[in-house]
Amino acid sequence: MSLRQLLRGSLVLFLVFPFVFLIYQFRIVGLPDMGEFWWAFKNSFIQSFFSAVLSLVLGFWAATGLIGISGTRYAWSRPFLEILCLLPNFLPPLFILLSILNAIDPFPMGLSGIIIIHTLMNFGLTAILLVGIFESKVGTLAELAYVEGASRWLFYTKGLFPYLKKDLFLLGLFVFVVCFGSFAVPLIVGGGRGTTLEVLIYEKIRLSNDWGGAVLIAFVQSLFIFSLSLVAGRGQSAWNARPSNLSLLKGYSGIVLILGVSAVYLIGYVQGFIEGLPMISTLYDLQSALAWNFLGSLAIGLTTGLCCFFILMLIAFVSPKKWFGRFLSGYVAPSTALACFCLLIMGPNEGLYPFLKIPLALVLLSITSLFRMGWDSELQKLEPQVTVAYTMGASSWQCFREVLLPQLLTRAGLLSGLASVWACGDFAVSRILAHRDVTLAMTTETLMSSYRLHQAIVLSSLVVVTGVVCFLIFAGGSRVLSRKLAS
Amino acid sequence: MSLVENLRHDYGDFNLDIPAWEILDQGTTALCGPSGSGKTSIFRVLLGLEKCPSFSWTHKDEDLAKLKAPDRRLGVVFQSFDLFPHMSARENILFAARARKVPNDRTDKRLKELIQVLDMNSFQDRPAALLSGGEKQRTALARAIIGEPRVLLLDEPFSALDPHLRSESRKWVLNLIKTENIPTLLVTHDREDVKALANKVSYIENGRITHEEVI
Repeated sequence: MSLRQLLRGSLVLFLVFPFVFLIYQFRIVGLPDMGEFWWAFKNSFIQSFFSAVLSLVLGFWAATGLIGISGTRYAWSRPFLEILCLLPNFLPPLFILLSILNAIDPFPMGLSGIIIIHTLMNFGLTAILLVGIFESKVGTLAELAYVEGASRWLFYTKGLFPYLKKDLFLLGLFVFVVCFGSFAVPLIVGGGRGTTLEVLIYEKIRLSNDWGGAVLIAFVQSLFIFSLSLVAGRGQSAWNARPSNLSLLKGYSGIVLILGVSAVYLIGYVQGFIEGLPMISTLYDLQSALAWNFLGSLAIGLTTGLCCFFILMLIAFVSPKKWFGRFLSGYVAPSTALACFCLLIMGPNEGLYPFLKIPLALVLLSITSLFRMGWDSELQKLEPQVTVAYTMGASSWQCFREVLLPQLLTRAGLLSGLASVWACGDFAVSRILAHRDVTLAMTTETLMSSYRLHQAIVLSSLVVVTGVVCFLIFAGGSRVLSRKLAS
Repeated sequence: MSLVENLRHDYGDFNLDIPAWEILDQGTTALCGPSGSGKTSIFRVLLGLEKCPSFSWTHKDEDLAKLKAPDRRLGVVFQSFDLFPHMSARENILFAARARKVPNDRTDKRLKELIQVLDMNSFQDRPAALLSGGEKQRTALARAIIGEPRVLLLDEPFSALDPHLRSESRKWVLNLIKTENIPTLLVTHDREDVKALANKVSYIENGRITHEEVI
């Protein structure tokens, strides 16, 4: 067995170990309460469905704004608008939760609350992806319709939507799957009426100690998401990038939407921060804990980022291999609650162990997203170069060291930095794996749960600091390394 | 003699069926046919990038089909050249020399020769991403040659170039093949390539070699 085969096998084992471990540990003796299961499934389905539909609708609207601003004298502001769009998706859910809970008061807890938060988190990303599709796929179609004098309505109903129905479906499915597996948001704003499958798994283990039921639900959920991922995996088509006149897709109200929605959560956050500042003295009793929690956040952020960097590079080293690529594309991250509880019952949970287990869980849960956020396409792009190097007789190590590593370092740094930002803002995974608050995000969530929202917002600014520090370390570090390799 | 036998493979909707086919020991053998005739499939099987358990390729008393792709020691230029964009032209060539474990002194000598033969002095230190089509092609050729391959395989090497560059490029390739005296397999659909370079041409259609001509 070669080193690459061994590493490939080990990586697959690492990714499936929560499933294997739980099957081995817990025997499923009977069916769980089906009424409860269907109710949670229905909630998961409804919130994911409406979050996906609303994200698509708002995303489409925002996309028309982004296209509208291109080619005008305000075109310089498009990157700024794109950052505003991506911010809610890339920041940890904690920020959106804090900002929106502060801005919308009283906030509608339950399914509608989950849908609002999920839509706000995903519509911007949907808009960016839609702009990419419009600019690369419908250029000629839009130009032709424009020249022929077609009305906007006619173009949308007879040209655009029928032509892009598959892309729109796949994009909607992507948001659906993300929302279906979401844990932190339903945990906080779901309330008693909005229990989703993820929360039900959590409650089964935490409250009823019913591991068998939890494992079974987690499997059904994973199977459902997996079958959706298989559908979503198909339908990739060649894109043709050429600047086109997209007048029929321009709509300036989309800019108002982006600015308006961003204003809601940003002003909500700033307002909460200003109101929380005078109450900072109430945090004094926490100050020694805060210093440790600051270090704890940094440690967890850096460890998670480092592990993600290492695993992404490992994937690059052992690729390409057909079955392995298919496995990674179809792999569904285990249920958050299940993966965490699985790690919880493995070995001790005191002392430094949470600082090992939390990053491990976060890596398991986020590696799929990181892989699909450009790592897979980056590897695909480099595959012809690897083939050439292979036919020349280059060893796997030479291929990796001289061809892949220099070209992948920057992207790996960005993705690992992103994972470290998520890790710094995580409270859901940490809450299961640590018996006390060990990070700033956990303390923030404790304050939020005890209705000290403004203090929580003030404290969350420190979470931002840890996130930025971690991100800069990875993004900057990988750039420096990349330049060193190039010189 | 370089003899390919039993190159048969079922792709479902398409079959390769070549009982025996001779590639010249000296000069250029062209495999010429329209799109979809199976040229690229044969090219990939010969390189070892696609499996074809039945086939054998006897080259100087050695069955290359039994070896893994890197061990076949073939030089290759793909249609899109596939240079490593983060390396300079020179580094691309040196990469191949390291891959084939060519001793340093030999590499230095060969590099100088190739740079001279292919007139690469003006762009050898330029990043591959900034090279023109013709420069990329010459770099890809040098990269394929420096490892001292048994056979040089060229897959539509001129199709990515502008028409006015093609005839000049054909001259570069012909000059290199003659100077290096390396057996070459040229896969192309362009009769002009055949006319300019080939000593023997095998015409392929629907996965079968229909007829051959020695020029």
